[in-house]
Amino acid sequence: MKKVYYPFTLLIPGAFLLAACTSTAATTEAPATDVPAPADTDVPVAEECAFKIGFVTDVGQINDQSFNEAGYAGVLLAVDQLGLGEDCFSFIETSDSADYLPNIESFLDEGFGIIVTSGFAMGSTTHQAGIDNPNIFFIGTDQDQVDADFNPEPLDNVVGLIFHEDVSGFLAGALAGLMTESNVVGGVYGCPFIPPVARFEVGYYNGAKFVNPDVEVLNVYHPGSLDVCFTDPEFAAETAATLIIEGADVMFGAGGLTGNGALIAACNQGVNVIGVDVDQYNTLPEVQACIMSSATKGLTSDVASLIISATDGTFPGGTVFGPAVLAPFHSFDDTIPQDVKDRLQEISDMIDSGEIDPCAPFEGSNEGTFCTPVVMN
Amino acid sequence: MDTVFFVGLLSLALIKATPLALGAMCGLLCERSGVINIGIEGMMLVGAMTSFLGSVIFNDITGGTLPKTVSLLVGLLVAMLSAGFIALLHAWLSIQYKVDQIISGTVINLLAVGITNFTANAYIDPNHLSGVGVFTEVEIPILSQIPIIGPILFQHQPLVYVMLILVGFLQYALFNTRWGLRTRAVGEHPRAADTVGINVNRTRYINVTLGGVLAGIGGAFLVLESVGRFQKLMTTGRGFIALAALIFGKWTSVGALLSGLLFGFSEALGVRLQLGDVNELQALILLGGIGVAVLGAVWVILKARRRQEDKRSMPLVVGTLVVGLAMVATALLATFPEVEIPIQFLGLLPYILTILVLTGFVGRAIPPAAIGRPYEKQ
Repeated sequence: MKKVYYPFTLLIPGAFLLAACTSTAATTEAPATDVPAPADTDVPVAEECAFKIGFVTDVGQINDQSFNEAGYAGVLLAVDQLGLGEDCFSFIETSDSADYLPNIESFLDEGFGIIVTSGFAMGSTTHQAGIDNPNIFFIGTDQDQVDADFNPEPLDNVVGLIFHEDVSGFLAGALAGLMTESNVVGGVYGCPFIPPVARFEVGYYNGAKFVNPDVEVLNVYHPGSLDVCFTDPEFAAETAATLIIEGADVMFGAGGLTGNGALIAACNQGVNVIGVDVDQYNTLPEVQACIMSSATKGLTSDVASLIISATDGTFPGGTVFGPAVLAPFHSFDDTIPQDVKDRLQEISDMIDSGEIDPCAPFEGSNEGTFCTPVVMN
Repeated sequence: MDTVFFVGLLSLALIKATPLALGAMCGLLCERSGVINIGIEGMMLVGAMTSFLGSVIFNDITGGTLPKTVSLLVGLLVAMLSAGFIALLHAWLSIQYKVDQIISGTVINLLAVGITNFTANAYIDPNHLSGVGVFTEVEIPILSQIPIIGPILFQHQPLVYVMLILVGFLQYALFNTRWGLRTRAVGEHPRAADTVGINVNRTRYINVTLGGVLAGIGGAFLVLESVGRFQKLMTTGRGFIALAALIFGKWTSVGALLSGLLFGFSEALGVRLQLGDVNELQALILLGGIGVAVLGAVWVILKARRRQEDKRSMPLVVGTLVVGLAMVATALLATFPEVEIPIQFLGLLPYILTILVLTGFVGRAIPPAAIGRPYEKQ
């Protein structure tokens, strides 16, 4: 009897994860904030809503103060502009990558006409769902529109919203390289196999080296799997502390909650930080005193305008490039010298004109970075 | 590769081992008295969240007039109490109602995810709560000046010391005090313990609750000493790794700390090797060599001490030592090409090391005999 139970304990983490994700996937739980619960299926909602908009997060949380939150803010913005009612939009938080398809399907079953999926990892699932459901509009953030062999395959009803993270990463790196006094700058990142994260990393490296060839760039990725690499702030906090011991005096954090951990820990030690995805001065109160800027992508506005384009018949289909720029300096506006600002503007212009390729392999930089050609619009 | 590299590596390993060792000691208290606890993860998660809320709200109420350390200590206290309360729930379910302890632990884990996510969504995020900060580093006078040992062991934030003291204390208490003897008796043979007048269920209640308090400190470590803010699901499976460390460490606190250090060390190695200031191949061979050599040396000593009749495995044991020393010599003498080791491999390191050590020299881990069985008086 006594030896019966113990082997089972090792199965429990898996069982627990399964239980956790099925509950999230199946019930479309909405948090108690201003987001309404999804409508009951037996209510003829379709007649009340001109469009129903669904949002599926990547593994992680809707209010991650970063990527998912910015995408969902785009949904809310579009809802606001279209004047839709509270029953006409909803979201599902994905807690396991096996749930991508079930989560999309639960929106399809409830008659949602526009489905926004968040994150690179859901790309192929979204693309396939677009092929299977030609009458539904899909918007995928960070998703290349390719077939199974990675050949371009644009669809009329699917838009992949891609950003040049390498551009804003390059500007962030340039800012770090110009502002560092120790000539060591650090960065902590989520999964290396997620292209936008890798583009941030290589852009940051190249930018710092471009303005300051003597600078040492210490970049560390989370080595774990997709289940943990964007939700592990402790790893990032301790990594950031290590980088600071190595001399880093500017910290860049790119990777959801993991990145946030690096920013907060670095800030607690008095190191200046650079945020990611959204203007984290507004989303992460702990770092307001030390955040110089954020390497943003225009997620919110672009998701909103794509949703609106789906409602008025101008939906583009295929791949759409969104802007990726540095956020305002906020409390550092006075600290950052004018010549640094001028230099950043100059670099930004050089990138726009094609003079600099922010993603080109630089000496010592990471080569597997999933670079996309710079097409500015 | 120099001493700074090793000092940094080992110091980071100790920090990373802290929540694992605290979680494992939670499991130790529970399981030594016969209650399986797979809810460590949930207890840590609750502790993490309540330590954040406790410190932030206390700081708000006092208007920041008190030093931030006071707020952090309040947070720590709140974490200990709330995780202890969750553990009490586990004890109540599994002792009073004789619920299957695996089920009860799973319930605790699911409940913790629900409570913390709800609170984060409903209260922490909408109110833009901002963390108070983290405990400042405390250097132990004199001891921290010892070369190499000082920076590794005696230049840390306070909860690391708390963990080390608790490990030593529990190791002593479990095997040298009346409380320890009673706890182990209840875990091994509750009927016998009962006949000599030990209240089995009361002992279990107390131990499980105290275990929860320790898990609370482990969760609070994540917020009050590491990150400085609560983030949803921030334990990311550390409670389960702590449980593995407990089994791996053969249900002793020192063993749990050592296996926690092994996990922490390989995680730290995954970070340090990415900095690119050492030759990765050389570092791996050197560290692997040191590990194999130490393994071999310990093995030789054990064999010699036991004076085993069976000397057939002696060549294998000595061979291990020789191979280890040869790897160290190679690493120090040869020059290595610059090889980029894939990051995913570094992520695998903890598990590879675990398998090696487990097959190599931990041997059979035998749980307390009465584990998982509710006690019923006849």
